[in-house]
Amino acid sequence: MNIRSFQPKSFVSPVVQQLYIWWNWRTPSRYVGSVIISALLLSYQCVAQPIIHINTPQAAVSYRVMSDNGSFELLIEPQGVIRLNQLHHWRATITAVELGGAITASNDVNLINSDNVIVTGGMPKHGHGLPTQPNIGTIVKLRDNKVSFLIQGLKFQMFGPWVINISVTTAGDIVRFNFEIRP
Amino acid sequence: MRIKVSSYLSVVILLIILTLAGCNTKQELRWSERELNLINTLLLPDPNNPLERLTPVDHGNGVSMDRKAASLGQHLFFDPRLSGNGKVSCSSCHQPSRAFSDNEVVSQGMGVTAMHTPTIIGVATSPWLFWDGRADSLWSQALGPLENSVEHGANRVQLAHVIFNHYRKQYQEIFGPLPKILSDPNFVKLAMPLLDVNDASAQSITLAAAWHDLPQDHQRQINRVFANIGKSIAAYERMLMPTPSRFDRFATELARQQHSNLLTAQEQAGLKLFINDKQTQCLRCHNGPMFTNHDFQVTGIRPNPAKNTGRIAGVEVALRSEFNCAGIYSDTPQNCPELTFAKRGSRELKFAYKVPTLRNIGQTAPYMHNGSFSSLMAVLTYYNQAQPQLLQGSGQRTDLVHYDLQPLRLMPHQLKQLEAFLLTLNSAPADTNAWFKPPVLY
Repeated sequence: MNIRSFQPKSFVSPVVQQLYIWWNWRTPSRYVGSVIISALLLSYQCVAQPIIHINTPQAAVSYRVMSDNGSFELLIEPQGVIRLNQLHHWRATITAVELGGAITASNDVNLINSDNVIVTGGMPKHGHGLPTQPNIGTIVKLRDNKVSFLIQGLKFQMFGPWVINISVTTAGDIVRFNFEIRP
Repeated sequence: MRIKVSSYLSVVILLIILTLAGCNTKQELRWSERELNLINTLLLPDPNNPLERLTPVDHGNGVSMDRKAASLGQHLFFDPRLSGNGKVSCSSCHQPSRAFSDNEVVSQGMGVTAMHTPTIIGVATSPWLFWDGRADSLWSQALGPLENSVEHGANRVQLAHVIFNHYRKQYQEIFGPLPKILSDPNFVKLAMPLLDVNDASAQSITLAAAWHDLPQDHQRQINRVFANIGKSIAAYERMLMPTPSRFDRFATELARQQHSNLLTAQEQAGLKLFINDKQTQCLRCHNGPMFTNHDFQVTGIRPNPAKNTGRIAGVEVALRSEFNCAGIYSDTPQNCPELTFAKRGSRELKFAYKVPTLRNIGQTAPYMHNGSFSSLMAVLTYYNQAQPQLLQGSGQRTDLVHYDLQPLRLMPHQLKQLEAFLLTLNSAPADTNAWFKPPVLY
């Protein structure tokens, strides 16, 4: 159709006019383009990091997270029931990963004490940190490559995506535990 | 090629029909599973047991659940003898007929207060008290207004004498014997420490000098009576819990049978907006059965003339207070989790004020910590744009000031829906509840 000869009546809204023009100008390339975009969006959903859900009140679940550089694995065991707006503690167990059989600073759990484990976090989407200042309890050595301690004084005051970062400075490594608090 | 008029008309008519179908307000609203879960988190528990899911906290108060202490506290709450001029009681500003607020911008005690008086109904669930969070328990909060020169204008020695002269029997049944010094006619009648180092008024200096003259042991005995006054008042305030509102009855019916007409279509539309976590995000702060996360957030309202900086200063006052959970007048100094893990020194705390409850919000105008918004619609309009007043004309860099609000970006009719929903949060009147009225005198 020749667009220059298109003379709609003045009472038709510009939106309707535009829709009509698009419908008459549909081409294979527009279809292919929308299919490609849809496929990209769907595939992003599939390959995007699956987020852990904590559905409050949440009891008796544990979570395993690997550190960024693979130096250690963290097992997180919330103590008691996780409810919104209530202080609670997490038990954290660090298992050092043995790399090539050698003990280095990154996998020597004897170097870990409450001064070199740092807990930070918050809700990056909201631009705020944790509502409390959690601290690290006594570090207990369970095995040659395993220590355990309490992260005390955590509180979540909103639903939504949270991150808790546990960094072990002697290992030069950090665990980023991403999860979503849900009702 | 000419396009027929009838083709245009049919498209236009189709669009009009589709639009009108969406506007049908009589259509019953559908609730998704996530929305039902969110509504359930806001629900007040069983009316026969309102303390079941509402968790009152009062760290360090060993008598918070003692009925005799609550009864003594109720008498003290309504007693104007606990003031410098014999005319101001807690109920002067926390009036039962006004949901325990006073509907004033700021309040009139012995002087004019700096902040707006909030409701006390349900406040026992809050771990931190005062707008700036400078008290870590309900019992230590009660002590603040008693010695504040613009509120009760009393002092702790005077108040100990009031207990000795008028409440001796009731006090001793709960707390044991009163100090013998109070029965000594030569013992000072008025004294208290200097609470504000910048206060140079003659009266404060006189009271501070009289306090300084007391031996430390006498000071501690008076402090203990003073702390017990606070604990009694807090035990009473714990009895002031919200009763189910129209929203609660709607939510209960909705959970049972998936639909309810106990709220109008407009109010239900407002509820849908309230729990929408993409757009309004009200639940970020106003969550849980008390519609508050009890945390401190920056709403960007211009500070009151006293240049109060909010929680960043308030938390330090609480940590230093001799009447906090960790102090010698606390009954549980080993168990102070809120104090132990309190966030300090973060820029998120500057100008951050306590998130108030939304229950009974329709009865507690005006609004915000300085009472500067006269109506709910004024608050909603401010939140809709979310332009912080703090920064206007200050020349401050916006990236250095933390700010917690996101614009709602709602249409005017949606703001009205939200307002209509908020008005459904008023508690049913508790006429038969004796705690909500002045006590029968001993």
